[in-house]
Amino acid sequence: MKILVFIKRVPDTAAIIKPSQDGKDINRSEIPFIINPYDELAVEEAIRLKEGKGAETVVLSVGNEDVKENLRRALAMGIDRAILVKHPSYWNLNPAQIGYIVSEVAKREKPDIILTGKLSIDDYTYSVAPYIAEALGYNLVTYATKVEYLDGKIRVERETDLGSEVWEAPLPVVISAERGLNEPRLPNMRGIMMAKKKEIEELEMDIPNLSYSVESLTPPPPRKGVRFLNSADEIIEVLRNEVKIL
Amino acid sequence: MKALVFVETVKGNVREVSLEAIGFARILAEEVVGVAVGKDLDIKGLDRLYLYEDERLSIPISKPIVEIISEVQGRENAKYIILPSTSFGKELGGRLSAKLSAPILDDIMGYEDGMFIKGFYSNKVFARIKIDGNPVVLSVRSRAFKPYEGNVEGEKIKLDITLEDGYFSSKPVELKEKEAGEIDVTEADIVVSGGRGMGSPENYHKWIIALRDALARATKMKVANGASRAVVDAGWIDHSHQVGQTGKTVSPILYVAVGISGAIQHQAGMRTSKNILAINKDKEAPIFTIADYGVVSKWEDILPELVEKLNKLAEEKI
Repeated sequence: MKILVFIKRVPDTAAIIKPSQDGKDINRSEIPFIINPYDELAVEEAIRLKEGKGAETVVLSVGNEDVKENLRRALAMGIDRAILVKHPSYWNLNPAQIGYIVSEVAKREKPDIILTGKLSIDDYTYSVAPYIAEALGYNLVTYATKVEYLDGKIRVERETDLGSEVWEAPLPVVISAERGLNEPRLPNMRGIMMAKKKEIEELEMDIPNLSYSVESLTPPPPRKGVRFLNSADEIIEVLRNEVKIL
Repeated sequence: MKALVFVETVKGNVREVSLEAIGFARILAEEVVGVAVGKDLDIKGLDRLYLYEDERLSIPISKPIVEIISEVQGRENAKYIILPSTSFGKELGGRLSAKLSAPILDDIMGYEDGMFIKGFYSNKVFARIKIDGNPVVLSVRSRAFKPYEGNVEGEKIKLDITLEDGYFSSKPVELKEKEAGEIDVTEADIVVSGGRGMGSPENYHKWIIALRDALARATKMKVANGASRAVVDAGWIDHSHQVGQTGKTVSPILYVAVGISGAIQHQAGMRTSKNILAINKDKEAPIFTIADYGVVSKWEDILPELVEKLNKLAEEKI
């Protein structure tokens, strides 16, 4: 069995993010970056499957040299090898282009399972996992909170805005990870040393052109500032006369 | 210009965000057609509504429904395909983008000067985006646009398509629906969230729920209970209630934060709320930097009284 995990490099969730001076990008050089937290769940799940059932695991990302740091971390956690599709400004790609890149690599690698996060917290897209499934004709189960691997199929607990469900799907399948799926491990020293020896394969790829551009980034509109209240009666007064919901 | 809207229903009822998607489509395009799964729907704002009936889709499955939407797109050749940004709508979006080789933008919250506005980095920055194609796939965030309120009502067309079983190879085998009365935080008019300052899961389940229910009774609005990451991680409540950067993003009319310090990750999930009321015993808590109204107090000294007074108000209203 072979598992392909797609990860994206994103700003740390605790980072203070500000638009850059020209308003086209963010203060990229000033902030720490991490593996997208949902993608990290996917990495962990792939490693657990490898440990449980035996599998070859491959991590894939798109971007510049910086992204190797995140691929190395996935390798240090226990992934077998890594692929980087080179792109100088990967953060400007449309989810459809990201989906295309993953699908093209998957056509070569032919994984039985593709794992990735349900959401990329940078451009806030949920589209990559379903794109890949459609492009490859793989089955799809999104928002997974528990995955069981049975013979030739998977059984997944998932959580949507309507409740929780259990799905079954035959392989090959794309699974998107939701919080609660697992607790990603921290790489240990041995893993970190091993990762240094593991290969990161670099690929060049022609990506379809799409008419998509981020014209400007601005801080969110400022809020008006806090007014302190002192009692339940004052709260009710505000709810009635200002928020106008009573 | 033409837009095609997927009208998402739950047990035959149109979801509010589908009506908002039609409202948004009416801003973008002169002609708006819809597609839905079901026998019949009572809905306004569509020049034509395509209906597809299939008992295998009592629970929505994206692969066959993408086939249906593509069939309608083949007939209508719409410029924009507009989806509700629900769990299911987001899944359709990615698939449609692949199937139609279309660029996609999920979770749109505004439209201005020909540009689409959405939150990047979990609303820490607002992005203005130009996107074009034939078609373009868009999904709209719940509560970002006004639902359509006019009287347009077009013809209904039954879709006569046969979908092979192969489209249903990935499917639900078991369901645990939300408890009656439980509303998703993204769809609520009011969200009441509790954090570590509540002290214990028992306090959360007693008093956050009590305030949620009292507000629902007093306002007759949709009220949901939310939570900070800290208490979700501590196992007080499942993560479908989590508001924040690795949880849900909400924009209710009123957001009430009780015992939540307001880390930047939490702020990212709730800063687009219309009104924010924070109750926290620490005057320096970061939540007060984005709140409109603040009460510096232990929750024990304010929630019980507030709940009681709201309940009394609700009784007087009836």
